[in-house]
Amino acid sequence: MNQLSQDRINSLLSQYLDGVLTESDRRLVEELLANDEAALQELNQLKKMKDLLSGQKRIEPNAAFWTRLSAVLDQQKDEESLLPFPRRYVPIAALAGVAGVLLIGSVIFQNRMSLFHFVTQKSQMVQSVYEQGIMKGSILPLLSHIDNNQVLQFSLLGVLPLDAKTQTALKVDQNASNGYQIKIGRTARKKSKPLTVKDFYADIQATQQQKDVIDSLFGLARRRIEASVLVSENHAVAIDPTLAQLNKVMVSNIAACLEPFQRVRFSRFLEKSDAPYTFVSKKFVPASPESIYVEMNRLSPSHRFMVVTADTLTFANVNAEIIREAQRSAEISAQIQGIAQRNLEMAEGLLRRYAEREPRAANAAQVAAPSLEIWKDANAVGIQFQRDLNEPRWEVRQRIVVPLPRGVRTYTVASPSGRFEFGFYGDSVTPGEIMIDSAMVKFFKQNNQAEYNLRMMDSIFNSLASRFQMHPGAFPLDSVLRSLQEARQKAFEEGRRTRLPMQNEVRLRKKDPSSNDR
Amino acid sequence: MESGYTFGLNTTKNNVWFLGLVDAYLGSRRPTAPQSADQSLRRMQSSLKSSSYTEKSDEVLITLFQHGERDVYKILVERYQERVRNLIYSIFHDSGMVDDLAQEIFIKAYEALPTFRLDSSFYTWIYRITVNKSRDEMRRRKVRRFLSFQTLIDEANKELTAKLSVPPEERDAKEIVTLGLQALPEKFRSAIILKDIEGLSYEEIAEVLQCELGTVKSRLSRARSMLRKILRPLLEEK
Repeated sequence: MNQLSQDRINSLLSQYLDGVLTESDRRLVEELLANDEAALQELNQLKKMKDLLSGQKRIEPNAAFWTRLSAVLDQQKDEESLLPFPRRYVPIAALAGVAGVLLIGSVIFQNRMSLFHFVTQKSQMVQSVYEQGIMKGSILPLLSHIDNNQVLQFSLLGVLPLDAKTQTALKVDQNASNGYQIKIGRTARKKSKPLTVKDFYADIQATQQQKDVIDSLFGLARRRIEASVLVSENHAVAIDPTLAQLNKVMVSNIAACLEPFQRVRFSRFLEKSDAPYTFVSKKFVPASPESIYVEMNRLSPSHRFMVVTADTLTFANVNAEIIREAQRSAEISAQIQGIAQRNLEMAEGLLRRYAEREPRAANAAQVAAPSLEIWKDANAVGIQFQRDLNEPRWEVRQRIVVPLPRGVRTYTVASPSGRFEFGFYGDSVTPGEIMIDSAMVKFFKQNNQAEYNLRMMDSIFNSLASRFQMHPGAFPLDSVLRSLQEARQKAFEEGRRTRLPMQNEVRLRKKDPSSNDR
Repeated sequence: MESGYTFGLNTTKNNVWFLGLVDAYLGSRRPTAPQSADQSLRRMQSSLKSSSYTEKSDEVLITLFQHGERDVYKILVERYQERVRNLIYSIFHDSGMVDDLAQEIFIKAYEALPTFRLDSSFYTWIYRITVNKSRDEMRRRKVRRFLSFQTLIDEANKELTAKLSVPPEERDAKEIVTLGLQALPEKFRSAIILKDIEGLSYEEIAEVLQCELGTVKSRLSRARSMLRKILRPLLEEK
């Protein structure tokens, strides 16, 4: 008996207790118990433990469980017919008429002299602006002057009209399964009716709150666009390749802000507008906040731009500080009408010039990435690059990138139960950038679903707190949570009537009056 | 009963089950939305049928479900919701999250049921989903709170030590057992909960945890040894 190890004894006793031993093992255990006081004591303790476990507290039955579950299942079914996530690219013939021409601008110091001549010819206005000293020495965002309507157009169609007559446009395109293209050129024909935010809101029947959220998305996209194409005084153009994905991100983010029926309308609106993206996925599954934060790729402080000069094509890291500087210049340049158009022409010329030369011979010191290619035809110049270029930082997830200036920035967000204020510091690693994902937007949108949102908020703030130094005064987490607690209480009291009024009304009537909803 | 009803924006089949109840309650008919008489008749029939399904076995219900009778899912849910909820409760001892997780589990089951092969029973299958989802949840909690599992165990142990140090008559044995369970690593905890709280057989546990019978035996034995060590002061009482 003694040769049995303690592990073996434990195992035998455990199985003996459950009555699953073979006959021979059972006899072995009984023999052991007869001779070994310790084993007997162990068995007794195991029995006692088993009794305690089987008497463990059970949770109160929930009579309303099905009611709640079926509401979710119903909603899911609704959404299945609704298609939310733009995952597949649908090429559109309608946009084929847009002649593109790309351009890129930038930041690198080279070939100043050789280009100066060209630019002077091409753009008197730019030169005069420079000479007046307004933006001397600056890096300019090529695409300043854009408003929300243009951002909408860009988001939905991938085309950014750059002048009032909409004759010149920047177009992003995904023309192969893994390739992107950015073009600049003139549209062959004028679009019959430009999209406007007002029409869009009317069409999807956006609530005021949704308008606020989507407006802020447009604002973010605008800043993003501004920061994505830069042109420098020394005649180079830098372009952030992730710009080519921005429109998808926007469509996805906008969809995330909408209710199911609005997504249907949105989807129709996209069709109607000949948008390149359509919703394909059958299900709308919001990514969990955790996964978003785990996956999230922040804009790197010095991200890689494709830089084109008249005779080089290369990558360069553009410091975030420079981008911000450029944005500041843009605020000044906003007063100068027409400059975007001129810059665009300049950039187009630059690209053409590059495309006409033998790129490899141009500058041996600069190594052009083989996946980058500039092409031209009679009407357009474009830059073609692979999806994996620059390890694209923008997944088409529900995600919003918020570029912020260094220092404290506070956000005030209105919600049905009050206004919340958030503040963030930019830190040295991620100067002034935070991510707000659609979960957060969703929270603001439906904070009457407080039960869910409490958990969501908790996780979001935990993630944020680990990444950013919170400004102690600006971020009253306690009060937010308290408000949520109250909202939750209220939501329960109202029997979740707010969400699906008709359904709940029926359900409430149907319900057994004696059963309590939780 | 031959005309149909609408429910706000929602006219999905899932609502069928309480059509009759609503009708009985209201005692009058609501105007209908565009909906064919055929359609509503079918819904009515289906509603009547589903009420007679309550006596059917899981296998029958699943087969019906797989042939388009989605309404029978309600019966399955009501049959197992408390077992699932209790299993979650035993694993987490956090009543605040039980319904959310249970809901996720039943949604997952709803989505997977069309492809469910009847080679295991519905309840071991739903238990398996529960255990897997609970693992995910644990992982998520771990990430979210930036606590290591060890920290959680340490926390539980601290509380447990405090509880065990008070005189026996003041202790709430159940609460101590709860804390003891929480201190066990997940794979051992699941095994002992499934056996001693949920009363599953070794074979069923193997199916739920998707492991060999031998593994179940050893996990259970180790779980009991660990728990016995933790609860020794309680178990040694006269």
